[in-house]
Amino acid sequence: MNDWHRIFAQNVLVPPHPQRARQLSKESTAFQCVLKWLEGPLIKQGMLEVLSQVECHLRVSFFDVTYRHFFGRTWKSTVKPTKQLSRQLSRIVFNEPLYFHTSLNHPNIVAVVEVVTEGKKQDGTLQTLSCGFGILQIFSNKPESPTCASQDKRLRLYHGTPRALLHPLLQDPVEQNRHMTLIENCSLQYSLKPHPALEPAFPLLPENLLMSGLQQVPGLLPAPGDTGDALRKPRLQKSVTWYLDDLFFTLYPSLEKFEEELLELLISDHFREGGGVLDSGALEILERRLHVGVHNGLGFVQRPQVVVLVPEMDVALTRSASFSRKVGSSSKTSSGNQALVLRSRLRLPEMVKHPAFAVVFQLEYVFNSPSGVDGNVRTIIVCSGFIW
Amino acid sequence: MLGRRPRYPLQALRRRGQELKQQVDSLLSESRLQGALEPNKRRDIYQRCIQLKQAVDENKNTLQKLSKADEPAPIGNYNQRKEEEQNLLDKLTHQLQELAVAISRENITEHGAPTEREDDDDSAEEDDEEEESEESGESCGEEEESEEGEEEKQESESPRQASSKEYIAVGDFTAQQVGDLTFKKGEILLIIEKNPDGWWTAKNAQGNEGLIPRTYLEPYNKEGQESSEEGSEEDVEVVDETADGTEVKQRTDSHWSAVRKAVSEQINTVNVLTTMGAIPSGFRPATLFQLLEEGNQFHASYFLQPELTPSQLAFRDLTWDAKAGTIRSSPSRVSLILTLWSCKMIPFPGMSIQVLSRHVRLCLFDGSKVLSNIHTVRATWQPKKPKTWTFSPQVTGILPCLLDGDCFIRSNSSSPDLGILFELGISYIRNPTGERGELSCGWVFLKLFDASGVPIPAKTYELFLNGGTPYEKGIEVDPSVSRRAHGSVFHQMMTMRRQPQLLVKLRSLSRRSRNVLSLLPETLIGSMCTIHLLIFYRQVLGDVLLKDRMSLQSADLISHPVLATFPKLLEQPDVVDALRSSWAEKESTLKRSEKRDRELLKAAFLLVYHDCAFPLLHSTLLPPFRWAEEETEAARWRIITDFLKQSRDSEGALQALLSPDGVHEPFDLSEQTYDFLGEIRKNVA
Repeated sequence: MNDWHRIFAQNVLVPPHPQRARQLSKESTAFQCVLKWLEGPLIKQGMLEVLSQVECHLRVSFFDVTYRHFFGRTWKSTVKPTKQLSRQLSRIVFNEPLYFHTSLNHPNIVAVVEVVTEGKKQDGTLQTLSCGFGILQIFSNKPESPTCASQDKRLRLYHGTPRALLHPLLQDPVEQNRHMTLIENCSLQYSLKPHPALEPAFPLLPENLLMSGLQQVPGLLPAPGDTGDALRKPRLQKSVTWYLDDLFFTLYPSLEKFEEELLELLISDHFREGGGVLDSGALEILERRLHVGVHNGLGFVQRPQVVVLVPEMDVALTRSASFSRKVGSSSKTSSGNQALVLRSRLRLPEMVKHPAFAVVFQLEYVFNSPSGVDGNVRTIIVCSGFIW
Repeated sequence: MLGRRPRYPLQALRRRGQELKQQVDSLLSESRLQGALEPNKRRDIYQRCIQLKQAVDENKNTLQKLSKADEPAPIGNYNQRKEEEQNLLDKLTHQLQELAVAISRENITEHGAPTEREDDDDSAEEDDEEEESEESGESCGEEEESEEGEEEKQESESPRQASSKEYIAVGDFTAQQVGDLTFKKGEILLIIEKNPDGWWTAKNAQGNEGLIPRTYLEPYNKEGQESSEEGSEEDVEVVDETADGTEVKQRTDSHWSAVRKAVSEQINTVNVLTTMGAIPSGFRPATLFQLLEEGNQFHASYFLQPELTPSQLAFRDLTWDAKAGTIRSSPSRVSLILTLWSCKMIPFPGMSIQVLSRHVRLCLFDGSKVLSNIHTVRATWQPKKPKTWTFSPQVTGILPCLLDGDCFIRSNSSSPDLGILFELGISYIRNPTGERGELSCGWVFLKLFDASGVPIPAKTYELFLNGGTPYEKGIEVDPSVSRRAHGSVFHQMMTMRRQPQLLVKLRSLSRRSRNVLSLLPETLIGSMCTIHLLIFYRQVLGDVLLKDRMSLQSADLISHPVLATFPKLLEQPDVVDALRSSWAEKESTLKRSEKRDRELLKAAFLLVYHDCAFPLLHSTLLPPFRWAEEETEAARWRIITDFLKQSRDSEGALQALLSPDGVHEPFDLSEQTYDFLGEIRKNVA
């Protein structure tokens, strides 16, 4: 598995609820949230006797109260040791900056913060336990005054687990449910403020992805000095422009066979779904499109470009002889095996010299189907290739 | 699950003895009347005769085991009374034996053995069905008791075996109680009395007498140890619905090769057990269990996931019916309901093995490949009938789905050899070493289509079990109870009835149940009592994947607690039971009109799921599910019951999820993310 794959697999995001996403997409707003310290007798009595070397961390996930829907990805802070010297007032300092941007500007979009302790049991196994959660409002109902936004706030913590938020009987406003009980004398100190400085880095950071300044974002330079916060004033790595020439696709076992089979399979799918029998001529390929984009493991850096591919035969006549020879020799194809070729040159200006940067290709077939059926059948075939 | 003794055991036995005597008398008088009755009448008498003999023998055994200490109150002349009773029973046995021999002799002279044997098979089958329907409790269990007596008789008759009162010990045994006889491996022991409970009275070379476990013994032949090699001559085929037509070869592409390694690792343990005589030689490490252990590809959770069409662009067995507004029902080649009745004459493993669970695992099979999930039904077993396994016991409250003998079977495989493979298994712990494992006590293959591709009829099938693994052929479960047919009809019939067998019934489907089944995935075996839950899951899955997905090309992750956790739920039958009972409660509060509203029902189901299954699946209190561990099972059930009670009292699970006393595992979005492309089922066919 290469770097791109690894980073991609770790950062797959759950999209927002379809209903929410259908609402018009507005400008994305960037935020900086600093989780400062945790105060109070968090750890339940009795737990200390069972667990040793107790440590603590915070988890943050986005939640849509309207649709009872968690989305994004659960972010975890660094693990801090707990010094439970006086049981009365202990303070665990995190001071960890957390960055994200979102266009879901709605008071029902919240961040759920969970406090998690972990420790070793007597038999040596690691046990992690939830110690309550808080609901962090990102957008308030009233327009915010800039002064109060930069102030520190206290997040009250509730007993129980965030899973309760999914329960169908937990109605909005959640906080007023009779089962929700606050943990006494316990709170999380934090600050939340808009962070326009992040905007230049938007292409490198997908929406709704929670990132700590301590985490590496492919394409961003590490922070100067030893603050370690690369997202406070993000500095982009220098990009280089790449050109792709002579791009062609050979399909297995041959283009004709591939497309023939694809049509057959689509017809049989159509039949299976109860759409009635289509004869083989009814469905035909209109266009073969290629989506090409630079991807940094977290997301596409720019919207992928869409270009049209044509079968080699259609091109060969208009092209120079040298080109055809080159295609023939490099793909080792027999005369019967055509390739799909791109006639133009592709320019990729956002490439960065980083192992997590890749070029992703997506081949799309556009079909037309007879009227009476539902218009166009669009099919995307993902065949990603990665170039470093 | 100890059989409870009656309050006054001796008195009860005497009463039973009187009943038996009356029955024997009436039978005798009937047989005297008959003179030259027609054969079927005679066979009937013969059958009754055998049944009675078994009943008598059982009574006798119980009597023998009885001691004065068992009585709650002192009884005068206890020993004398006991002896009287013993004599009465002996006399009855004698009368019955004479009658049986007389009848069978007449049968032979009239028909000749072969035809009669077939008849016997049939009648035995009918008889068994009768027994099932009548639930006449005793009959099945007593057969094997009489068998022991039978064995004894056989041995005294045959001259070759006359000397085989001498047995050789295959292991060391140290006396565990007063009256036991200690012996060493290789010692020759003279058997004085063979008690049916497996503890025989024996005398050693020094002349000491005592009780010894029979499982440590093998017959001793002075000429040489060939006694166990009796297999060759006895290949008389019986009515056998097994995999005759299909190839059972060791093919490289079959699942056998995958299991072989694991099996061969286990085989050493099993060999030790076999040589010790602790298990019959037809037992093997269980094949289907091995397959289940190797990841999830034979688990129901895997077969529950939708499968893609060859184009990889649509779902094969999940399509949307826009008119009905729900998933489309799809018929499949095999769609049937099967009831496991019972297993009979299953050899009883020896003392050195403690049985933790008896169960039947079943799957679709084509002679070489397992084509579905492997479904497990646990058998109920009682010490007083040690060779009989039953299913779907009567319980108060809901029947746990693990014990439910009613299974649905769906498959769309086009294989002409398609059938159901049953493997009987025991999970055991070996007492001296503490090793755990699972043994197969026989398997049988029920082909679902005949040679011309016509489905086999819906009826009860009496399937004789094969020993070995499903990839071996011609091995008997227990060669000591061989299928060899020799001697009188009496013996033949007894031999047939002593064969390990499985009784299953294929049910014919009503239109309604056929419709219900066709909402399930294309290939799945499961318990009938979970079917409504599976259909709710499929409907929710259809809504999310087919109706609400942004576009049909979207392969995004889906945040959905039910879809993400339901397949895991199926691995924990006790949580399934919790969900079933909660749902049953909820359903009983719904009005009839509400029950017709699909969306309302679905919402109600989701609520119940959140109230019961979801918190339980994430519970920190619940110890992880472990197969056949009684303590874990009990502990889990206790916690589940407490949880259900609490959530009933506080009207839902919110209280439990939010209470200050609750202990929860941390939340992570990935636990409720459904990645349908990652979970998708690879095409098996």
